Amino acid sequence: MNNAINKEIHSGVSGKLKKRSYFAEIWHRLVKSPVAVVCIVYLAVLLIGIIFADVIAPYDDKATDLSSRFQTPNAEHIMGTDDFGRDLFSRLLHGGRTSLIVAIIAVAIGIGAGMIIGAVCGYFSSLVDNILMRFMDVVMAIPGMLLAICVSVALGSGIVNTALAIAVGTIPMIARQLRSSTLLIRNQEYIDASLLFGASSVRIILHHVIPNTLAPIIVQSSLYIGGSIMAIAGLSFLGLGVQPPTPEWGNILNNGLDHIYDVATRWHVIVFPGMFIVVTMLAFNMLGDSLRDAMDPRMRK
Amino acid sequence: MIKFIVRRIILIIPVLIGAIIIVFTINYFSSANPAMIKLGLAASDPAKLAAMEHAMGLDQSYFSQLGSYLWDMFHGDLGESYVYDKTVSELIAERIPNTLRMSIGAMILSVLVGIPLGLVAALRQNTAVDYVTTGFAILMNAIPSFLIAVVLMIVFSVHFGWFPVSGADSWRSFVLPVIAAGIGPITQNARMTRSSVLEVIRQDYVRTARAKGISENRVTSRHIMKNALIPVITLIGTGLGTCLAGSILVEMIFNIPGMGMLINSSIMSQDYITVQGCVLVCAVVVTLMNLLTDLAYGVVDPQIRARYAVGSGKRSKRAMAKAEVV
Repeated sequence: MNNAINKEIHSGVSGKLKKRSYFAEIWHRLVKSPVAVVCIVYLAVLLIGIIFADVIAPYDDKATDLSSRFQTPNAEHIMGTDDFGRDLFSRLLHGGRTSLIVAIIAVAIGIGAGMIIGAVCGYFSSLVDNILMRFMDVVMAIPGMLLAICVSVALGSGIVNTALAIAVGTIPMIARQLRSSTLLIRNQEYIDASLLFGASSVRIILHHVIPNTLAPIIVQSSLYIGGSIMAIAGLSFLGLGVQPPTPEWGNILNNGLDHIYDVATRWHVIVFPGMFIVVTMLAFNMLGDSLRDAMDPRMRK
Repeated sequence: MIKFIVRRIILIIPVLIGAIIIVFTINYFSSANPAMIKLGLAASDPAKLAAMEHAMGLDQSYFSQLGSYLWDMFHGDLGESYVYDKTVSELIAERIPNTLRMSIGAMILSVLVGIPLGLVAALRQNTAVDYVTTGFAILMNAIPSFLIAVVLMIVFSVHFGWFPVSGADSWRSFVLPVIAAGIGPITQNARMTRSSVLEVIRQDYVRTARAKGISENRVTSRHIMKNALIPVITLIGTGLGTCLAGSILVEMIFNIPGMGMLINSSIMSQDYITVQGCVLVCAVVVTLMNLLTDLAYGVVDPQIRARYAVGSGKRSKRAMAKAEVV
């Protein structure tokens, strides 16, 4: 450990080594928390399950079989079948793929756009800053879910459109956060140094500002993914978002909720999709919380 | 203080206009043609379609359409529904009382339950009470409000029959929806209060207060709560937005005729101008609530009070000094 630190000090200018050790340190603290380990294991299993859904899923997720509708969990269908006799487990695996892809695209768009806006605002800190941040304030005035509904109605359904609808609400939050950290970084000496070397604003933003503000944002993305999964489910519930027959956790659950009055015999069409959504959200949220704790300098020993 | 209030009120006007422009623009560039939706089957006749487009002002430029929408909006007119034979304002006026009842109820519930929960968890940090409360908050935070609504309905309405399954006839119909819409904000308030109290509890002035021999209850109420609640107040304002969005989804489970049902049926019938109107009305409600929060913030936090008292003579200096002491 001491050796590593020495090496780091001696290699000084090599930013790469320093960055790696920072993440390694966070990772080291993260895996000390049992909660975080459980979340990571669950998410890893889920990820493998949905990536290899075509291989793992026992049935075709869209193949209907009207002779076996609403079967409760049994040996053939471990999570039962839905109103079209489709295997629920297969649908949930494929649906998880859609849900996570939408959530990840949404977070990527939100973080990408939010970071650019935030960095530009914080770096130039002038008229541009004023205009863009007032615009962000306006977007923040509209409740996220309602904005998502509005955008989703305008753009129509589909994976990318749904992701965009959800991303719009997260852009201002990330932009604000990045702006404040950029304001701090702008006055650091290494920025002055690169200015002396003749670096352009674009280069400074891309090479100095963004990399130095990245870590907390990456960590928060875990929380944003959890939030996005919830938002997707909400949109599906309203009949927006990804449309059936393409499976998606939200629309599978929504489909199950049509049978709410027969819950005694058809409980599985509500319980299993609900369980996947809740447990996955829980895992992302708790992982995000643990990551935040792990990154908190006050928690360092 | 008056300067602060006036400044805040003036500041929300551009925010509201901006919100209207954004929502209008999003809908303007959507692919659906309102004239076609309004005409329905008759839209196959190009002459009729063109006439309807002209009557609705769709042949005008984006800016003149936006201008007339803004102008109408300041007169309380949100346009005419494409589907119903009513104006959007009428539709919303019919539905909004139920939604407001639910979301304000949920907000009050979130304050009455969330803050004490957070306080208790923080005061008994690392005990069973703390773990149960924090665990509950984390779990509930991960369950979508409409799913909570379904569970509540199955258990308390269908199984026990304590509350009506649907409708909005009496206060009993609102009990479960308010709980369902309020759980998210309850957990947020609880977590925020907990971390805020934990921050304050370690401050020197709390130790000083204890050292002076002030009773524990008084330390909690006068020294801890007063300082810890300032950040929580901000959250109460944003909580209304969450409550509104939550009640919109929860309404559909309990079949309560409110804005959520209106938004849903308008989405189904492609009555987008109604959706637009609903979103705007919600944005206005949330912005006004944020204004109230900011004002409350000014009243509660002496530092903000002092900042705005600067320049009005001797009193302000005293206020500044007072703020510094606090």
